[in-house]
Amino acid sequence: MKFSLATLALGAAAIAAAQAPVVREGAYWVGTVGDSFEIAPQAALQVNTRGSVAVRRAAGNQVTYRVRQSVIAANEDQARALLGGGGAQVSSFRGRVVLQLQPVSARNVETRVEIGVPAQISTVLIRTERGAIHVADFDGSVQLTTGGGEIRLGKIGGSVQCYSGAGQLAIERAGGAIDCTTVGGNIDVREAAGPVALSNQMGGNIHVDKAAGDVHAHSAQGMIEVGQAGGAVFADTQGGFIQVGSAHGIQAESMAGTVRVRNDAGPMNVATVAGNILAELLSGVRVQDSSLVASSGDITVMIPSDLALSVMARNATGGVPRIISDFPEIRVARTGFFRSPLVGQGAINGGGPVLNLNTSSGVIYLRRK
Amino acid sequence: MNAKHVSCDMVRRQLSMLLYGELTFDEEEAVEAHLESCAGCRRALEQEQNLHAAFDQAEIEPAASALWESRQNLQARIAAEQAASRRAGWWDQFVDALTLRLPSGSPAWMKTAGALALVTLGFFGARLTPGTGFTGMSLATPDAQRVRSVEPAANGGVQIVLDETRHRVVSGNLDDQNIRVLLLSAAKEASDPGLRYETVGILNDRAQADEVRDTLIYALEHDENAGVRLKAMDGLRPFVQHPEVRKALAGVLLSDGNPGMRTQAIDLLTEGVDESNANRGPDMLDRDIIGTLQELMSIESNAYVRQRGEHVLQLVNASRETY
Repeated sequence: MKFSLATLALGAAAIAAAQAPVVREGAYWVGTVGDSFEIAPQAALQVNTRGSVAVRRAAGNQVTYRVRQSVIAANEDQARALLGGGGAQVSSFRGRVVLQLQPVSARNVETRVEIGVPAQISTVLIRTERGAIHVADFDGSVQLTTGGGEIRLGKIGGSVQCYSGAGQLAIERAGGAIDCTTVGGNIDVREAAGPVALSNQMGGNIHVDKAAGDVHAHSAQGMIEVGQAGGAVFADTQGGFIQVGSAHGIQAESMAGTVRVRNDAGPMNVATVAGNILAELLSGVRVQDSSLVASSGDITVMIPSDLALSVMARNATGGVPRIISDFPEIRVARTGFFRSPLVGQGAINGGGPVLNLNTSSGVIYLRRK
Repeated sequence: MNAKHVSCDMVRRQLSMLLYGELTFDEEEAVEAHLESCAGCRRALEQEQNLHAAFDQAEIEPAASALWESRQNLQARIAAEQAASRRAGWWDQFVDALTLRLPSGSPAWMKTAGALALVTLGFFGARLTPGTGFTGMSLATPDAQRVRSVEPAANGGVQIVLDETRHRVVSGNLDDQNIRVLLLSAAKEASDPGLRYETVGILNDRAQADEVRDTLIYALEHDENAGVRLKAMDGLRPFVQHPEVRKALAGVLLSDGNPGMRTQAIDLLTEGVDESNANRGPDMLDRDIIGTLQELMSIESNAYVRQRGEHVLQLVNASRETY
């Protein structure tokens, strides 16, 4: 059964689901329905369904779909009653072609949906009540929502938006921006050509290999690793380390965990309540005023010999506060008498942007690189 | 202790302690048993009681000047001994002034001057000392040190007890038992979740060893950080058929607050259970796991995890509830 956009323009068109054949496969009764319809180039396709969804690239200008439902039943009649025949409807809404695949089936029916989309479609939107979403290579953008289940994406040419009520997110490549959230589970992004925003609401680790733009990463509880960011990195976790291989500006906050950052340029604002900070500045780049604060932990800064920088370090550790510097330009002295903080300040290579270092319990190291 | 074995001499030595209530139960019982059968010791007890009563009645009020007089006497004795041992020169007097140990006859302004000199010396000394001023104090350049206690030493010096934290680099192969012990300890006990995560990540490659697997199970069950628990689960993935791993995953399924953890736990526990082998019925899954899934149905709030559980129960032809 084929539909043209002209048909869709007349209003919602219901596809009377053909009486799907039900066949026995092992212990299961399986019903499969499927069809295709034409879609205009650059159109957006939205699929509303239940169960797991797999999206793959299809040739031509046809959208194909296949809904496979399986159930254990005593006989074919009971199986047909449980499967409910399945229903599909294609309509147009806000400029999108909307495919409704909401099987009228019993709750214990396992539903798997496969969608084939032409390469020229601009956007695919998947809304599933619950179940995993897998999208293989696709040139356009995707917007994916599931009540729960893993989301796994191959090479996506455009932007990616996704949400899972529970489960891990894995994205191999996005040609545009990424904006993804999971309630719980790991998030893994290999490569993004645009900015990246990732959020983990109840805990899990976030890993981004490479992003061309800014990276925003929030984890309620877990580690955050960003290999390389073309823009700034904004990372915060309630517990776990934060590691940034390189970035053009860093803002990182960890409640408990070490923060290791390497900054190419831009400001660097790092804070950890319990944990060490290890910051490396790169040679030949323009840094900006920065601040590293460790409530309880050591701060180590690796500074290139040729970098012009003004340093203001303050160590308020009770007892014997220490600031250990490889730079004779940094003069270290007590600010007062008994138990007063130790302050080290000075201009390296004539001075430059101000690097503020502050710890309440730890050692400050200024190392020449 | 038996009355037969307690001599009169021993009892009389303990009478005073008896009256003060300082004897143990057994000692008291033995003394009292002896007193019942020994008239001489009972008389001795009466005398002891009279003596105590007399002490209680005699109230001694020390004179208000007693303490001052005692100190004066002490200083006089010390001064006399010092005078006998040496004749003080100008340097000794200077040092005495600094240390506030001037003889009692010295004028008061010398003590004040000594105190001022001491403060001035300390102030300018700290200002003129290059660097932080603390390197000279360091005994062994510890990475961190804290004074735990200070007390005078017999030779007039001082004894300081330091808590020191030193960094020591230990390197070796993962098969080295010493290295492994350190890693196992760090995975469980490190306060930094990032350190635990990295340690668990290293141990994941050695999970075939029982002790490593036990540590990963411990992290899976007890680590407060979801990121660390997820990492431990990764390491246990190849060993999902081990009973102890399945038990731990079942625990995660029922009690872990993170739905991402529960989702992965159910994936691992039901690995290989699909429609292709559904006709094998309950045999395809441990009965314990089936029970866990049935229990899950009554407590699970996440719709997806519930659905997964229901589906697996259906696959193995088990009911959703337990009866």
